[in-house]
Amino acid sequence: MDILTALLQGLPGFGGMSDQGLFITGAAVMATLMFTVMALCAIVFTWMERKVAGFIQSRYGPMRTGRWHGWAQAVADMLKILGKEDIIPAEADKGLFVFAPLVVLLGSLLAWVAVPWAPGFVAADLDLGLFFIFAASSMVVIGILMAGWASNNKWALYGAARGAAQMVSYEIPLALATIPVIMHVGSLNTQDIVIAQQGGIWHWFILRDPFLFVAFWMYFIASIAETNRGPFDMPETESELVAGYHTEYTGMRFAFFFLAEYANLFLVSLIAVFVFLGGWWSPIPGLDFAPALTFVIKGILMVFLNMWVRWTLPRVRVDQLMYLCWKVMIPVTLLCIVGSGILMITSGAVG
Amino acid sequence: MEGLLFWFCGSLLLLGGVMMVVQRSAVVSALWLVFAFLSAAGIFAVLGGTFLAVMQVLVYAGAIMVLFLFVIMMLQGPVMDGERRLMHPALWPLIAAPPAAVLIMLAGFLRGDRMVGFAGAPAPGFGSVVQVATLLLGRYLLAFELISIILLVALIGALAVGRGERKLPWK
Amino acid sequence: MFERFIPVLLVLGVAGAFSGVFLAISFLLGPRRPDALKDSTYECGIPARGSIQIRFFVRFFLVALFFLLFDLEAVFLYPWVVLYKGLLASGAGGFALTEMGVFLLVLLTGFLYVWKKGGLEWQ
Repeated sequence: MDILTALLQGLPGFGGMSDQGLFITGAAVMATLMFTVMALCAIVFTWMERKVAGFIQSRYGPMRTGRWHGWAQAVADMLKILGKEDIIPAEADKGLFVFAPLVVLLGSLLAWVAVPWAPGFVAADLDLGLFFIFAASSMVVIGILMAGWASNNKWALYGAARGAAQMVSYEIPLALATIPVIMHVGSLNTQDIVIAQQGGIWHWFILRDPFLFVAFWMYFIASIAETNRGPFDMPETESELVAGYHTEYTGMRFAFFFLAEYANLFLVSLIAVFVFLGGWWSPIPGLDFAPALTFVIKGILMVFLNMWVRWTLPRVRVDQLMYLCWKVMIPVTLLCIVGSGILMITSGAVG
Repeated sequence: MEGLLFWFCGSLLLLGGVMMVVQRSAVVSALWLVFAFLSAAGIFAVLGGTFLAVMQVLVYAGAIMVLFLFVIMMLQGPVMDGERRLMHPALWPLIAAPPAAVLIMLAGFLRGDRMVGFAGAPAPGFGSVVQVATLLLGRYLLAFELISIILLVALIGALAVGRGERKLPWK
Repeated sequence: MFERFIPVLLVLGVAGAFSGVFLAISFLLGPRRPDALKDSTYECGIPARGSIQIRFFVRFFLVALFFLLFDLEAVFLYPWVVLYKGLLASGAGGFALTEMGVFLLVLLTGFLYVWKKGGLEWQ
């Protein structure tokens, strides 16, 4: 944000603008930029997902569109989906049906607001950044319940109920796993969290103490469940519930769910990066010439890890899912909090 | 700026409240309530209570409403017939009377010099998480610890409600 | 402070506008040929039977209830966590840890009770 306003000030025509005007223009530019990045990441990640899935299953994935490894396949899919018919089932609750995808999409995009891309380059520099991210992404659950209910389809409703139950359950270990990090930082501001990890890979929170190392993996598992992916894709088990809560959606509205899924995937990966993996800092101190690039590359590596897990492990059962969350992850994350707190006292190291 | 945003969020809140009451479908009604909660969070943010605003979204809109939606979806269909009979036009004045009375009293109270205004920017750090935390863990420590007891009671209560008659823990 | 939230509103506006544009494009480009079969509910190709008022597993309700309680617990943890480092630096670390320890211990009792009574079982 600060960088953007400074840049704008340098442009002809913006020099005479008031600070408030500059701030709002900067924020609007940032908002547009974020939407573009989100659309772009959905395109890139759909292609990446199909390639990763292909190689893991000893096949090629898309190969033809655009010559080189079918790179244009996702673009073609996006264009195709624009020309698709938008079917609203006769039995559906029209108003809710129309708005549900927007709620899901806006909920996941809103959380992006507090992501620190580079020093001074964050759309909204909030004091409670991380807290805000969790609050904004909790809106996705409402959108999913809306979609399932509005479809007036038993499978969709059941998928929505499962999705909501799963997402709310895993929200707890997700939030608890980040708490040891905040104890070390003493602030919820996303930039502060990154700044506290300056100085090479051994200063990243994942390697600070054993409890933080465990907390990172707890966060990672919870984040997979939170995005309804991987071994935890209970809400859309295609063999049981057709396609879950978006069974009745077609065309652009379906694309919004799709967009939101990948936006969420990238979001949880980026959170993992800036909370545990050093954010924009490079692993070797002194090589921080492209902070935003470093940040995005780490994010993409996390997304890759996520895809790897998804295409390797078999789907779990609902009872296993709940067992894992309530009887393993919540106690372990609580233990991490207490352990890290005691370790901070005994080591005497503040910071 | 504050004034503009305050009235904007305030009117959205009112809209959410009215729409919630007039809906026939309980699910749509609950979703308008979510809308109203979000607008209320906007008002908190404008007034400087940022921690409260985010908490409002996380707890009320994100957690309590999910519970509400589950309960509504479990218990009844889209339209409640009993409710419809209750909403007979002849009964409307009766239903509208208490809120109207409160509104008139409020308007009388806020008239003139007691009209709500913006007394300037709040002190730096007002409503921030650090300030809330300092109060919560210092001056209101006992209340804070007692909250855990309330949560404990609620946990046991939830268990008793959810397990049904047959499997009550003490049977 | 609230100025910091203006980008949040702007993001909502911009994203809403873009979504509207995309919907409009797809509305203009897409065909519209509704028919009774296409607009019917899709339940594996068999005509949908019965209403959507299916009987829900009470466990969903219970999960939402437990989530609410633990979410509140997490919310109360946050203020403490933000202060913890400062309290540690001023030498009150033990006090801070006890404060939270009592809070967590009470909740842990409830958690263990629910666990023991089978409240966390999904069956």
